[in-house]
Amino acid sequence: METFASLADGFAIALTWQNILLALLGCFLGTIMGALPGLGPSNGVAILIPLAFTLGLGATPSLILLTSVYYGAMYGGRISSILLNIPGDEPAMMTCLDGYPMAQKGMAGQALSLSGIASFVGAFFATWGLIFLAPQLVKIALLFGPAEYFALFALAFMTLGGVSSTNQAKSAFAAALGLGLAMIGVDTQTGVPRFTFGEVHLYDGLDFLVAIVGLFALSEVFIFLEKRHGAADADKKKVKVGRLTPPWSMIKQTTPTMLRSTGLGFLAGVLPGAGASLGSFISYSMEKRLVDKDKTFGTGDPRGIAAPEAGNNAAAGGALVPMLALGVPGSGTTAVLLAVLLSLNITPGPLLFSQNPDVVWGLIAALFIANFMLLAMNIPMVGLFTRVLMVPPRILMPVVAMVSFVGIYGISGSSFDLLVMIGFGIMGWVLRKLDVPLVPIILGTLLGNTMENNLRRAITISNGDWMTLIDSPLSIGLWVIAIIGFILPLVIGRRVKAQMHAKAGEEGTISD
Amino acid sequence: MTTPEPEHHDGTSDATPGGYESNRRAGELGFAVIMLIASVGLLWNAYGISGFEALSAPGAIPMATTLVMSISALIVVVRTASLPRVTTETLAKDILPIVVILFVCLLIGYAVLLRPLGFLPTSALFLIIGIKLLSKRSWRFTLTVSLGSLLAIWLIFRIVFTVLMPAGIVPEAEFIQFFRDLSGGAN
Repeated sequence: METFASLADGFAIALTWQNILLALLGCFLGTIMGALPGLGPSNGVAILIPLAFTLGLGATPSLILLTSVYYGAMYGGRISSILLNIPGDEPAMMTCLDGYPMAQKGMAGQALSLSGIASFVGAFFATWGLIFLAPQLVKIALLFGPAEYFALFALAFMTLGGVSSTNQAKSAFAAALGLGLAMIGVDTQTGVPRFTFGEVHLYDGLDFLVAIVGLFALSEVFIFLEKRHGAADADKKKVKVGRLTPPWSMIKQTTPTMLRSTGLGFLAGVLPGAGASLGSFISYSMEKRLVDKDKTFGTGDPRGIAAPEAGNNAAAGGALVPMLALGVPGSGTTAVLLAVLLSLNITPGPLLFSQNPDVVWGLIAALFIANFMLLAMNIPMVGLFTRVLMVPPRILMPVVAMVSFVGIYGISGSSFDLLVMIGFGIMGWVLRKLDVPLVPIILGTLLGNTMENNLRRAITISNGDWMTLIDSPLSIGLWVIAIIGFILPLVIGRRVKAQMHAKAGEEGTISD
Repeated sequence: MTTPEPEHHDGTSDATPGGYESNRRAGELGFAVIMLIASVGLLWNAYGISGFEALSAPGAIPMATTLVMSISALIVVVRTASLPRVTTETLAKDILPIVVILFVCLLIGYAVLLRPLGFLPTSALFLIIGIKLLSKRSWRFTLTVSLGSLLAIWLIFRIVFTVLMPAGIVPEAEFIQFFRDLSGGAN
């Protein structure tokens, strides 16, 4: 099988001392990022981007570092859910429901290691899914012309708000703002400066790494400063971690749950605009409906931990499929990873698999390695990670801010970029307070230029005929999916969201 | 563990469930109006690029995006205006807390001073003031933590990764050379 040969090549690339050390570092830092309440995978990756660049790493090692952070953050989110009843990040929200009750029963150690195993199962099979699904998607994507690409990007934007968006107008504003940011600089086709306001520094356009680190990492620093995550450790209770290994019977009992949730979570990850939060949510609700005959869910049922954890980690793997195969990210974190790829001069999409097979397969092999590392790391080192939760954020934050400064200055060597980054930080902070989503901004900034070029190319090829955009069956199909993806959430999104909140609200856990 | 004051929503939700769906926060309407004005201003700016020349002209897409921004900002303004105010929040306490404003000033100061003053003195100032203000601990604690982390950052980035930071008033290169000479000067 060709796939297995490629995978073997991938392992040959990934298994160097440098890459293994990077994966180890990424897993460790990622788990810490995930465990800190408030810092999720997208912020975690954004904060560590400057590190990858200042290290001067090549494409494959940087990606290995950052995807290990991504997977690690997905693992880490559950720690504070279980021990403190505060989700470490969005996707870990559902883990509170059964995780915390289990910890209260003195089974925190078992809950933690069981969730570690469930995370492993989810991520492991999702990576296999990635291996088999992505090449199929590539075959379709190779048939795309400029018109189809434009439709595909439109699809990404229209579905992005998706089920999770509260306010479609705010999402649309954010997406348009992102596209507008991408236009800054001299137009590549005509040489006309756009949105530069006479500032020479802007003629080259914005460096989207500066934008991302500002929007995600700095705004996170501001939010941390304000409060209140800090309140979590103020009245820390000593939770007894207890026995670390779950009994065999518990693993046997939860195995079918893990497998079902993996499938569902993977699907949720592949679908544009759904992501890991939805993956963990639907996995939990389905398991509750299927197996909760004695009404034990919500009182510390191990299956209630296995389902969301397998679900959200599988979704994390699933979200990489459209990012790698089509160049269209399905979630915030994959958007950030896409930015990293683009700044390394690698264009994700169908050609990636034929032009940079070393990057793709090295990355996939690294995912497997990271996954085993995380499993091995998470069970014995839970004690260490829980202690990280106690570091006062008010001391950590100036240091985090400084590391982003050094990183960005190290990349660009310009203090103008530092000011731009601060500007983005303030903007991200204010926008988040007012519930304007940041992910569409990033997506717009990333895809804006390619999208515009494809549109103008398609129109030029057809001599200004706009009908070319809906000329082929493929592009019509894409537009149909886009429109369904846009309208469906408007109809059912509100209901799913209300349920998500009601579920979590019952337990009084959500700190949003 | 109880919910940390749900009425003080901190906005971590990012495009996901959170915030107040049926209420208006302090300052939210003002911000929405600013968004609208900025969008219309940008639309005007985009019109200035090439006017209504052709659909594939450089100004066409910028105009389209700023138009979308203006329209959606208008919708946001109208919707926000019709919501009742959140009564438990004030602008100063929940939307623009003084500590964040201070920190922003610190950051801007950092970016401005970095080149003339150099990396080490600027960072030392930034960390000392930042940690002192935020943690409100003793000077000894502040100095130990900030200088300690500065040393760690400097060692990692400057020495291990050899990231070039502006030297400014500190003769950094001579300093590093001095230690190289001490340790044998082989490289």
